[in-house]
Amino acid sequence: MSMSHAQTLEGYNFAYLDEQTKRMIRRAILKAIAVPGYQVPFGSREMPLPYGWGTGGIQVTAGVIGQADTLKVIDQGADDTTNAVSIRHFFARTTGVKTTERTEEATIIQTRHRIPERSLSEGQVLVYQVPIPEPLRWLEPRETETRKMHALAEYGVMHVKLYEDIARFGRIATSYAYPVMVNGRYLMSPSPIPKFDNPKMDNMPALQLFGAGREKRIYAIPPYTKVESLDFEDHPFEVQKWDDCCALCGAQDSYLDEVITDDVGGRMFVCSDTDYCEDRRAQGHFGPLGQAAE
Amino acid sequence: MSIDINATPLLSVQNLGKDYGNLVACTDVSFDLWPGEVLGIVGESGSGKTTLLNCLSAQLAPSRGAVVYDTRIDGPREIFEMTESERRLLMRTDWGLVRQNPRDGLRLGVSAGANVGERLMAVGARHYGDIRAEAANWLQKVEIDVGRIDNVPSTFSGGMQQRLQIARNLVTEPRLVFMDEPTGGLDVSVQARLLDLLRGLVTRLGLSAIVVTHDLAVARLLAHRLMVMRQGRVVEQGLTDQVLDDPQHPYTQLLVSSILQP
Amino acid sequence: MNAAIIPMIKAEGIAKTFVLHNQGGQRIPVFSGLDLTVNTGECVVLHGPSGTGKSTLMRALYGNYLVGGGAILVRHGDGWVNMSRARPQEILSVRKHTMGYVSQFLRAIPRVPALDIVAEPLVALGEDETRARIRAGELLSRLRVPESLWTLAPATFSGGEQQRVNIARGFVVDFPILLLDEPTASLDAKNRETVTDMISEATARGAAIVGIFHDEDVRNQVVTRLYDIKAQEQAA
Repeated sequence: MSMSHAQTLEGYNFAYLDEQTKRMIRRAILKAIAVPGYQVPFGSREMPLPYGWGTGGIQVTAGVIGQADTLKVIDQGADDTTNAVSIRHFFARTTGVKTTERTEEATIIQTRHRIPERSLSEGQVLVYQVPIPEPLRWLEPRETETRKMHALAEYGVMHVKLYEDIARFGRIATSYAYPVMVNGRYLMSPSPIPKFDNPKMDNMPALQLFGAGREKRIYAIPPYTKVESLDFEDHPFEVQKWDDCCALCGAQDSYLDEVITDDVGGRMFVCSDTDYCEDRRAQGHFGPLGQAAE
Repeated sequence: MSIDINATPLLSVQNLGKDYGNLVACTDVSFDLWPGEVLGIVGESGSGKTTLLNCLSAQLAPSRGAVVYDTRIDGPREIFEMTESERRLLMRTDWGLVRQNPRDGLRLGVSAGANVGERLMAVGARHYGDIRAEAANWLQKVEIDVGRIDNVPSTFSGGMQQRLQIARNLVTEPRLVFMDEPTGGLDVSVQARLLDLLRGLVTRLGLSAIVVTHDLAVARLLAHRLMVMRQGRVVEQGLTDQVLDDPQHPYTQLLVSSILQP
Repeated sequence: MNAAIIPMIKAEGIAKTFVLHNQGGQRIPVFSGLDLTVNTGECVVLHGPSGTGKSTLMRALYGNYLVGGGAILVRHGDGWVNMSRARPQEILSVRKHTMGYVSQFLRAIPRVPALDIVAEPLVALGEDETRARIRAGELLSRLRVPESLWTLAPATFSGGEQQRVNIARGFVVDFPILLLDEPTASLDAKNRETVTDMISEATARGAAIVGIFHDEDVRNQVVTRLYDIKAQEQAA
């Protein structure tokens, strides 16, 4: 669906933010791209939704979106959840830009807590919504101290957390927002994506941008950058695995959501990435419940 | 047979002083410290000894003077002319700092093993099994039951916390350890155990140490040399047994005569 | 074959006065203008009534007391160290390698067993701990300290037992110089005899010994020369 600019909301600038603000955001983004993984402070604006609902991601998208772009918005992998729909409509009404649910058609993908299963390509931009940008925050509450730690690359404490996990649980228990080392220099929180998605970040052809509205930080990973998940030599990084496949499309390589189907313990697993699942079914792949669902 | 005495001091302090506005916290402090030596700094509250220790250990920038440390790689370097990054690295590897209250020197929410292993991880250790084994080794050395390696220090007694703090500092085999009243606040029997441990570690590891204490018995036991401070100045310094048995300065004589004899 | 006689201690023109600042600056002169040379193979006994400064002189030789004026030269390795002027590091080196001291009182360190207290000077010189403990045990046995006491800290020992631990510690290393301050003070006849033998053996191996002996018998057996402090002072 797309609207011409004439049909967009009257009285609002293109993409809601004024041009000076967008310029400020772009400067922050350029700085972030120049120093991969480094958190750049920016003047986060009041947006028409509260903190914690994606204001950072929205400001980043607003900063980069242009008339020729095609926008996809997902929330936990799905295009049709309330928040994804709201944000997509927001941009449609303030920019008139074309929107889509198909990953390969989008030029900008704003996401909350997932990376699309389908590999992204050069020229695409992935915008992550980030709640807490500082990966060291749990260990060191002082901002003055964490800034120093980043400046001096004092990251030993991050391994302390992983050590504690292994000591307590026998394995590294962190399963989302799993800390990564970007370009061999900055420790970064990838936002609360499942660790399943971490490997996708490494050497990705697309540009990855991260926006935290409440914390007022923007960071970035330029295309084809090294991104490594932290681990120990004798406890290497591992992604989640399921015993089941997707009930609808039969996929065994995508991140699965558990769906409770009744109140007597019935459940099924389905792809979190709705577009990916639909695409597979369109190509004739079905899981145990797939054909019945069609 | 010639017996070598080191040519270069490990730490060389020249005319060190720290003011707070008009208040002179310490001034005119100069001394050299050689490898394997323990220097005791004694004096009553308000003598400036803790301020001095904080300046020496780079916690506080002095108002004047120099602190020159003989680094392993670059030779003698003035501490406050280093970059902050270099100083912080020094404090994590070559130096140790044992604070009076162990809770200030430990991560209370993290297990004993992680507390000891942190410095190793900070300098690049990446093998969990090795780190854990090294941590267990050090817990043994400071006489903490290895079975408590996964317990958090908030469940430890004061004496255990202090020993854990020592292990945490010594794991990277520092050459110089700063201690601020290491036995302060501990029971007498716990003190004895800790002092014995410190003595043993200092001798076996060839550590140098600067120990601030108001307790002359602790100084006699641990220190080779003593510096007596009063109102921010060093009034007497020398061999420990000489300063305590043949004190020259009136204040030192007063201090020594005030020791309670059991 | 006669070993060469080498001076090990050369004290020249030394003086000691205590100033008690907290008692109105009261001055207590002990001695002045003393010269003392001690050679290898000698056992020089400091002689004189109480209060003439025998212990003070000995402590000065050890670097435990300062002296006002003069020099105390001690042969250390191939050179000389002036104990009255040397850096603490040098004095500690002399005490570690060259000069042993048996004082009247044992400083019992909490928790350290007697065997380790005796072995410590050897371990400090780099000797293997096990071998050091064996040697320490030999000395304690010779001094009739029961083995049951070896693993205990000496704080609770009797005066005589503590003294024997002290002596063993002083003799565990074959120091070129030995200072002995009333080493037989709390001992019975048998142990006095053992200590006398140990001192004679040390003299025979060429140690330079300075001693203070209250007991005349012991003194007469070990002495090679008497040094009367008062007489020496007047002669100066």
